[in-house]
Amino acid sequence: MSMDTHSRELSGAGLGLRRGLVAEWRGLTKDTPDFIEVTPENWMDLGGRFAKDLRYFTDRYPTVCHGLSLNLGGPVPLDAEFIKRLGHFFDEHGIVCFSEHLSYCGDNGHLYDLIPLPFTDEAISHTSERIRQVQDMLGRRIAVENVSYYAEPQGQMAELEFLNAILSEADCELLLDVNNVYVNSVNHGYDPEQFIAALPSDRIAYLHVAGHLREEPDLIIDTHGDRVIDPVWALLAYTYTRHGNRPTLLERDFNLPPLNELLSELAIIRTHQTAGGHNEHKSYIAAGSAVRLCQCHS
Amino acid sequence: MSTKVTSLQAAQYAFANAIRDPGNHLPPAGVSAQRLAVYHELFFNNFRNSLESAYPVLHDVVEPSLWEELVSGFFREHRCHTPEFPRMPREFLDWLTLPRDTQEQEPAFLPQLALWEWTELEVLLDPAIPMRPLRIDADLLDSQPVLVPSLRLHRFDYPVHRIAPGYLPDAALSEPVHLAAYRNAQDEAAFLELSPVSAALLQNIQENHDMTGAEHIDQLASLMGHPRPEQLFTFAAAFLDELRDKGVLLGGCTSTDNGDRNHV
Ligand SMILES: [Fe+2]
Repeated sequence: MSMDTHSRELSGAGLGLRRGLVAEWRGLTKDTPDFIEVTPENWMDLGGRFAKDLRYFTDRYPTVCHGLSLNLGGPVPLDAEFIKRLGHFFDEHGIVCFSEHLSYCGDNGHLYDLIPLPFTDEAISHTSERIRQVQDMLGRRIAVENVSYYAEPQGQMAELEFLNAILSEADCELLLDVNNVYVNSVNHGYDPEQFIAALPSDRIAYLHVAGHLREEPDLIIDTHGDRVIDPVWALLAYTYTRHGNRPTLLERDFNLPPLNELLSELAIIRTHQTAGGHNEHKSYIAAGSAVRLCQCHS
Repeated sequence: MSTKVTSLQAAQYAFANAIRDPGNHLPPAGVSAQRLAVYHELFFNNFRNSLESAYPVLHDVVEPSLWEELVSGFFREHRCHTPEFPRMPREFLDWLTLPRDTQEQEPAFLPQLALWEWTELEVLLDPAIPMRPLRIDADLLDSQPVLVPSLRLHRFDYPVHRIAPGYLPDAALSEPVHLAAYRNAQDEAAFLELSPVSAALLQNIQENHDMTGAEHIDQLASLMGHPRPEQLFTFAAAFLDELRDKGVLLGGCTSTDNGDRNHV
């Protein structure tokens, strides 16, 4: 596999590529996102208009991929054929970084959504082993994302301990979803700042931020269907202060507004990034504002 | 590979089973019935939305309660194998081939309508590109006609392309209807209703890449035992040109550059 396509740098504020945004986004000439994120399962091996749109965007923007169906923590063997196709897709489109969810997405069939793992030693070793396998097969390090969860299957430890153990045992990177930390802190009653402060800075590949749905006082659903709320902006600002200026992607999947509204949220991200950049915690970042991501083992 | 089920795997199957069918499976320890319901609803709605956008006519013409039973039966019983969510609705067709509780109350055209609706979508997704060098302006009688790779040919016992809430055929047609779907040059899905002769010609072209347009027509005439082959020839030659105008035929390939790349 060629490695040179992975060396592009990522910085600033990115936006997830969605079918419903393509028409308006294609004509955009100013205030463009700094990078894009593509769900490979929604775009791979397609022809016609989808293929042309995808090529248009990956030619113009540094692109990260955020997978859905790898089933990293799942009970069935990894799908080697699918992983091979993913690698091919990454090469074809010069994908800078690949992230997946720290969860599982089915039993012996795909359910196309995220089921929370129990926070146990068994789940740590099972999932870490599989993340390592994926990294070996792809020939690159991957990032795993902390997911929102609405129920906590019986386990032995807290989410934070589980997440940190995976990062170290799997030797992988972290896609830190700041909105998910907020959602989980409400759903499961923990301190979101303490959680973020206790994560290893040097493992953070990039950040996610998104809107959500407050269903009940103690239940937030991570819908990606609304504006980012103020407490999440505050938590993002805190994250920059704590871990430095990090490339940050805005996720929006439902109730897509006019593109301008999303671009104005990217502007908010950039403002916080600049402000956070004055903090001393930024010191580990190489000169300049960009962070090199997902370097290969070799 | 070990077939021993670990306690983690057991807990995962228990959780997934309960999400698929909360009425018949208890959630794993630590998960309340209330939160299980949240998961069930999220996952099920995701399946339902996807099936409703893939099968809009089917969704429109069957009773809402039947639709609900079909979607929940599929969600509960089927195990999807494609990692690509846009292709998930295709697996609904596989599930429809199996016996199920609702069959008695389903309209007989249901599986065929579903196949047609998926075909309309499939031609938009198809990644295939022509494998043979072709000339757009080639003489289609002297060269080997090259079809658009997204072309799908189907024969139906019901006029599935006309089914709508106001038109629900309950008996099969006396003669089957031949339909073609493909992606045109504007990247839109396009359709043709074909006569049996036209359908046979297209199918022959799809299956035999090394024959010229003239050879295809000759073969068809002798298969049909056509009394006036020259009449068929005139008709078929004009039909080939029409297919090119519509984007069903991309052009012609001459045998010298056919090489061994012909692996479509
Ligand atoms: Fe996320």
